[in-house]
Amino acid sequence: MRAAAAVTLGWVWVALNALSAIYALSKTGLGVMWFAELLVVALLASPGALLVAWGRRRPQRYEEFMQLAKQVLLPITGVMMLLTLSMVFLWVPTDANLGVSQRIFYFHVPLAIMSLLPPFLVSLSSIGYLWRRNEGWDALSLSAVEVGVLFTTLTLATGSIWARPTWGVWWRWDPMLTTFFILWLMYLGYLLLRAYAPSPDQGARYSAVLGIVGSVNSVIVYMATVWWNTQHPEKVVGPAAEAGSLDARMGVALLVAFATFALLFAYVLLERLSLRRDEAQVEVLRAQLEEAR
Amino acid sequence: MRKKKALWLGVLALLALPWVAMWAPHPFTTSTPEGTVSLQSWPDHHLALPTDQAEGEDTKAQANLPFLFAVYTITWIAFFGYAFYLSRRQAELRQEIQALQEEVARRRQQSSQ
Repeated sequence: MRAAAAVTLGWVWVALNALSAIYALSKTGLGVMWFAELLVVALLASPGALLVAWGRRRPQRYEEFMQLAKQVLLPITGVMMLLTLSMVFLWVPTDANLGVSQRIFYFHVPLAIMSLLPPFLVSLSSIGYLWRRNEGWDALSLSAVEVGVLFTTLTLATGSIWARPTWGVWWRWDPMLTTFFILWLMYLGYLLLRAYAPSPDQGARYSAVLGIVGSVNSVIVYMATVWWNTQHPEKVVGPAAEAGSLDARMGVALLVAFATFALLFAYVLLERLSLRRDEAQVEVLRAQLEEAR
Repeated sequence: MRKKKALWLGVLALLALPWVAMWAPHPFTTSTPEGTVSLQSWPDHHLALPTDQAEGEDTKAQANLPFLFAVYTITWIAFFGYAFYLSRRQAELRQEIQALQEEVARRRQQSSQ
């Protein structure tokens, strides 16, 4: 019954995403990017939630699925990486204003977009954990945050390196950069809260609340260039972008780069989830060993 | 073992590719037939281009290359590093699980005797 409800919810979510994508396609010139963005959210978030529900009911098949998914994802990601690199270094045209440094765009933008996915996953799984107290939700939340730290750190680093030749400085306390920096701090705060909580259960509960509250910041980050007068370039993809703001070849390369980083995100997330599962098993076995004494 | 070697070779090839591209006949200086293009939504006043960049296409194309390669190198090293850490930690945990399972079974056997 629970699994059926989870599956239904998952499909409702996918349908909502599809509807939003159709709406976006009709409203923006680069609707396909928005569609890709939503597709990744749908592909990762909904099955992520389903995986948690399924993993509880069929642990053996869940483990087999995870192994298979990782084995399939790894070579595909490798091929996509090579394709991205070929496009970025050999195919895309050079920007008239920024020159070669504009090619940082194909790393920085997909990383930044993917950095906004974990808050979504964390809020979803945190609500799930507070509601059902299922360890699977907590594992998904923790894994998403850890992967989120990696992506946000890289976004900040690549952005800073890009800022040097274009703005002449490494960093500026601009609304977009500052809100993104706050997102990074929130991820770190989440991990610190878990590490220093009096008990694992309390840590999971407190961090779930922080995860839900903190996810609001991702919306602020996304809308920063719209709400404030910022030095950061305006959006060139997604629903907030002006139509035709990106050259067609640049758009294709960005789409491929985005797909690569999305696959990389999925792969790393699955690896982290597997690791969390092993960590939980070690904790259970240690408790059994204590009992056996 | 062969798999591991292939994986490492793949990683090395991936890291080496842009460096090779950099020393090969320069892909950046040969712009497309249509010339260079611009991100329309990035007006010039947002930029503070160094003067040497504005001199000509070749200079512009080659300037700032170190920044591009720094981004590239940092990104992939971080990903491979994290993936390596995860797989290593997982291998350690799998070993620990096996040892703990054996220990629990042994203790249970002892207590039942």
